[in-house]
Amino acid sequence: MSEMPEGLPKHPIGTFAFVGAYAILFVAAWFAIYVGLYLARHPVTP
Amino acid sequence: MNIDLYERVWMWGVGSMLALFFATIAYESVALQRKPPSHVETIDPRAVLTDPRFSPQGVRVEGDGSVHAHVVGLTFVWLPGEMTLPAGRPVTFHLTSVDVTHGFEIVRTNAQSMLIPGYVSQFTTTFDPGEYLVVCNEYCGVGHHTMYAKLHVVPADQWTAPAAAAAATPAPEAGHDH
Amino acid sequence: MTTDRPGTLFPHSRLILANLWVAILAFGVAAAMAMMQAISRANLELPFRSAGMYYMSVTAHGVLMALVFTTFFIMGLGYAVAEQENGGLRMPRLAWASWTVATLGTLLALGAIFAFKASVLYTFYPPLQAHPLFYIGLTLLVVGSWGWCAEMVASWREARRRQGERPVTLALHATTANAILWILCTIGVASEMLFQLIPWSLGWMATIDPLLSRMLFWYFGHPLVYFWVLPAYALWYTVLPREAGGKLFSEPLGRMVFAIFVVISTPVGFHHQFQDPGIPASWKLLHTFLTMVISFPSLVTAFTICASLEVAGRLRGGKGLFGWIRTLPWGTPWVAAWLLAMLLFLVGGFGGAVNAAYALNSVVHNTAWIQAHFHLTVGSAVALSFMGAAYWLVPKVSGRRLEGMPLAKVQPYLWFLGMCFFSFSNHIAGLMGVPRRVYTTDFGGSAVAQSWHTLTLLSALGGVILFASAVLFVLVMFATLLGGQRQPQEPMRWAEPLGTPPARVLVWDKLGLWFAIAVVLVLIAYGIPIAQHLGMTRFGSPGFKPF
Repeated sequence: MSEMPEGLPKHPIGTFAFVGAYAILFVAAWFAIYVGLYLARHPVTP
Repeated sequence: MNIDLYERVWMWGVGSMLALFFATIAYESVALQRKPPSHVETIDPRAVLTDPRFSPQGVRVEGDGSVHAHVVGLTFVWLPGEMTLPAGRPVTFHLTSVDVTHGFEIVRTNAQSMLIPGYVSQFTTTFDPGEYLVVCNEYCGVGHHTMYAKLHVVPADQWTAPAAAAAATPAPEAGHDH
Repeated sequence: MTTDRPGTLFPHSRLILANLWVAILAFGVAAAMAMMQAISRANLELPFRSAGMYYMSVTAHGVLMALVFTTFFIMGLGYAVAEQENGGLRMPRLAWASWTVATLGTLLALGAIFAFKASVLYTFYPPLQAHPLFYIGLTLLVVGSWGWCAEMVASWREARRRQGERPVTLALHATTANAILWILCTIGVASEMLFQLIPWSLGWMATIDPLLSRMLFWYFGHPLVYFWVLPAYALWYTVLPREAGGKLFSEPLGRMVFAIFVVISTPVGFHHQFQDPGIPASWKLLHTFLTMVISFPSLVTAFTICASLEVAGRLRGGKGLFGWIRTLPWGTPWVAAWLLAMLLFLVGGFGGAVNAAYALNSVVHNTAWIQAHFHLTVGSAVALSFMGAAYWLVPKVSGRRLEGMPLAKVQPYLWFLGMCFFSFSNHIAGLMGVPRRVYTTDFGGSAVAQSWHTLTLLSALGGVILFASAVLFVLVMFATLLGGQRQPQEPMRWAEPLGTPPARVLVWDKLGLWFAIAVVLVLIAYGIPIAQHLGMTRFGSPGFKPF
């Protein structure tokens, strides 16, 4: 169902690189905010 | 479905990423009990200012030495408009609104809470010494942007507990049932 | 009805265009409201600038953009899809009645807003109380949209009947999934309107429970964003690959994505109420989990669409790892709009993962970060995609050439530029604690407020650029609809899937099944906590009008 046309790479390597980079940035930024802002500030408990 | 290998790897990868995020959050909120305010307690919004839980407003020290801040939001002020708290000691905030929904936010901290009339909000946190701006972050009308307060946090050894009111007031705990 | 034009490609083109007209007009007025807000943010002293005017314009902007522009555009697009699938609509009189009711409702609500009697913002949280016509008007808008849902479901059933073993088009699958999602979620806001806000604003009920109102609103309010985004996804799946010169990668996964959204769009709404008292932490954590799950189909979409674009770009001669990006037809206005919308959405989606992360929500709730987030999502992924869709669809349905092509080519890029300024500055400002929905950020000249000054100016600059882009869009649409050179109508041409086309109905196509599962999940994730809430002794609130 995802057979790439003739003459093109067998798999979407550019896509994998692009979204892979996005995912890495995604995780890095999420933890940057979690560690650098949330954990750096005093916690809130009930 | 015959999913392309690279897309399959991607799906497993993002699934793991989402699981990692959730595991982190679950550890934070369940194991460490650090989470946004989720107190369940009701109060009659028409009787807040005479309710012992919010009269008087401001800082109280309970019999066990714990520090509590009792705050009421109303358009367009915070009661009290200024408080002085000790640094490095846990402070438990008790908050409610007498009219519309407000948002109590201590700028540059993790501390914030919605104030919904009919409900008491509660959270505990600790402060470093300094001057803190408190804003309302939930739209409450034409003066929403003027609704701010000040928090002075001084080193614990320089802080004096407020006098008289403390001993006489019962600790606010259980819901106020009718 | 005499508006039928049988024998043409779109016999109900007038109905489709009537919906798109309301959308475009609403967008134009909303953009003007936004300009007023940008001026306020820049602290420019202009006549008519006041807090009262500001909060009215924020209400108008939110209602017109988030509730009117979106709903009418989605309805117009849906009628076009259904019409093409079956060669006509099943219940055109109902469709026209729905348009009339929805438009009337919109006008009533707008009347209340512009009379300064409904400055309660588009979320209208009680105990803030608007004039009853505001609530009645918005209720009529929702009721009108239910007529559209009925047509979408009827068209889908007709298409299934005609296709037999074969599935309906992905475009109709997505549109119908969206319609049943909308039916399930509007129950929440309709309940809030009918059982609380309308009787309360009319004085028939003295008090209502504001937390229950928020729960009912956000039961509706989160799936609302999927109601918005699913048509944008549908365009990216079914039109963009072909317009970019390629084919759709993994079509069955596309069908799966829309089925997942039917199930999981609604039982996540507590993530808008993480900071609310009165809701136990355990329910908030469950909704956190479900929100993480709902990120999954969007991330799958990112791969599928990107892969489809890679196919297109490589077929157009792109080489190497990323050469295919450059060879995409960035000069075609609707392609540019969709590509830029997706790029902005990459950041918006990330922001959502921060908002949803329970404890992390305390850093961003009700700050300027939230404005940044939703201007990237509804404001770009959805709005910019809809603008591109208008360039693509209106000539086909109306039989008029797209006029002002140079403006149309520039407009998406201008939107992208303005949004970069707006979202970047507001994301940072939010992390620095700037609250949202404020007329000024002065706060008595406090030191920390002064540190926000540059960011608010950048936000204002972004707003001005966005307004310029909005003006270009409205000009192009007016010129096209009112004066575009006549040409024949054209059908919408859907992207072909890679490999063999779908031959059999898959489990993802069984929308009735997914709707049933959705109902069960909603009963668990919302039915139980709401029932528990109703069992508590609670105090209601009267209405307040501090505006």
